[in-house]
Parts: sequence; structure tokens; C-alpha cells
Amino acid sequence: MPQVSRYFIFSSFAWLLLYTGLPLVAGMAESPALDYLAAMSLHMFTLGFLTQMILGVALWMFPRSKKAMPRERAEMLGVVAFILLNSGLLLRHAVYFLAPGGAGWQAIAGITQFSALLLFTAIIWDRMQPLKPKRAGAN
Amino acid sequence: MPNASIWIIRLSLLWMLAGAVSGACMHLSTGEVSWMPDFREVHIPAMIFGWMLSFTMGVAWWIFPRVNRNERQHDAPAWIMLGLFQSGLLLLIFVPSAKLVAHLMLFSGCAVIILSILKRVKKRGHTH
Repeated sequence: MPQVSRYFIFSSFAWLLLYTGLPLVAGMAESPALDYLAAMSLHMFTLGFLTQMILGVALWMFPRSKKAMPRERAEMLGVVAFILLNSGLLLRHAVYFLAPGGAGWQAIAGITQFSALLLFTAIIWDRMQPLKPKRAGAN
Repeated sequence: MPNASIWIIRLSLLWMLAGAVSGACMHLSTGEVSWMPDFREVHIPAMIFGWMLSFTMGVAWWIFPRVNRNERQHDAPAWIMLGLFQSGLLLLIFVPSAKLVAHLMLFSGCAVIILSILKRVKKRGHTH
């Protein structure tokens, strides 16, 4: 499994633990923690866990083709995508505490995440190639 | 990879990007500009149906074992699902009054692909 896939998958597990663990903490805390959960937990699950798990497994499992970008370059861009995606997620959480209602910062977090997804799209796009026609007489 | 899967997955990647852009726009739009769409109405369906579900379906269609070898040529259910999903999504986002029809199309798309994949979910070592 490529290193970058491992980064994505480990990180997705970490976000899943946070997503499932935070309600336990919130259950013991006062309403601010609940407000925080209501606002942020959906992205922890969908982007932090689901999307990162999909990206990690796709980078590992999708077939490599001659058309696709070279492995080293893809790996390097994958790491950049990983850093951007997680920075965007962390920034979103930081903004909640440090600049509540800071729409500009939220948008920057969104653009950072978009850049990560754009990089992933560029890496994976040419790894999908049509089936080769079967040779006549082959079993 | 079957052509239908390639199309489904590539379109899902485009929806993912559209979903991310609309998510960023959601924070920038103040709601004061009347012609601007409600980006939440784009962001959520694009991410749930357009990206995650479509991607999963495309990969499932590619990766689940085929019942018989000639089945490779018969990608009709995947193409039907693709058509229903894309039209349903576009309707859901751009024609709010047709929400019920849109959801019906999305449901039918899911049903078509699930029914045709069911027989491909087999026990290890099972032969047809």
C-alpha cells in the first residue's frame, strides 16, 4: 500500500474516533460543546472519515496505467493533497473557536479543501482506463 | 475498468469539486443577493448523491465479481443508473419544484444498480 494511502487511512480513523468520541465528552459538558458538535460533526464524519477513507483506498486500489502520472509525482501530490485536506479541516475547527462567524476564514478552509480534492482528481483521473478487448480464442 | 464505471466515477469526481466550491461559496454568500442560489441546496446533494454514492456505485460495478464472463458486455444497468442519478441530481438542484420526481429518479437509480449487483455478491468459492 502506498505511503500516502496509509496517511489518508490513519487520518480517517483519527477523525472517526473524534467524531464518535466527542459526543461522550459533550454529554458531560455544557451546551457550548453541544453547539460545537452540531456545527462541526458532519464534516468530521463526511470529509474527515468517509472522504479520506475513499481517497486512501482509491489511491491504493485503482489500476495504474501508462497514461497516468508517474508514481513518484502522484505520491508527492497525494501527500500535498493530504496536508491541504487536513489543514482545511483543522482550520475550520480553529475558526469556530478563534473567529466565530468568520465567514472569510471558513471560505479559506473550503478553498484549501477544494484544492486537495482537485489534486486528488488530477492524480486519479487517468488511472481509469477502459477494458482491453479480449483476444480471439482466449479463455 | 468498464466504461460505465469510468463515466460514473469521473462524473462523481466533478460533483465532488462542485460540492467543495459550493461549500466554500456557502460561507461567502450573505443571502442579500436575490439571484444567487442557496449554496446549501447544491452542496449537500452534490456531496451525498453526486460524490459519495455515485463513486461507491461506480467502484462496486467495477469490482464486484461477474457471474459469467459474457456479462462484461452488459453494462446497461450501470448506464441506466448513471442517467437516472445525473438527471435526478440536476433536477434536485435546479428545479426545486420537481423535488419529488428528482428523489424518485435517485431512488430508481439506486434500486437498478442494487438489484443488478445483488447476484454478484457471492460466497467465496461459489460457482454459478
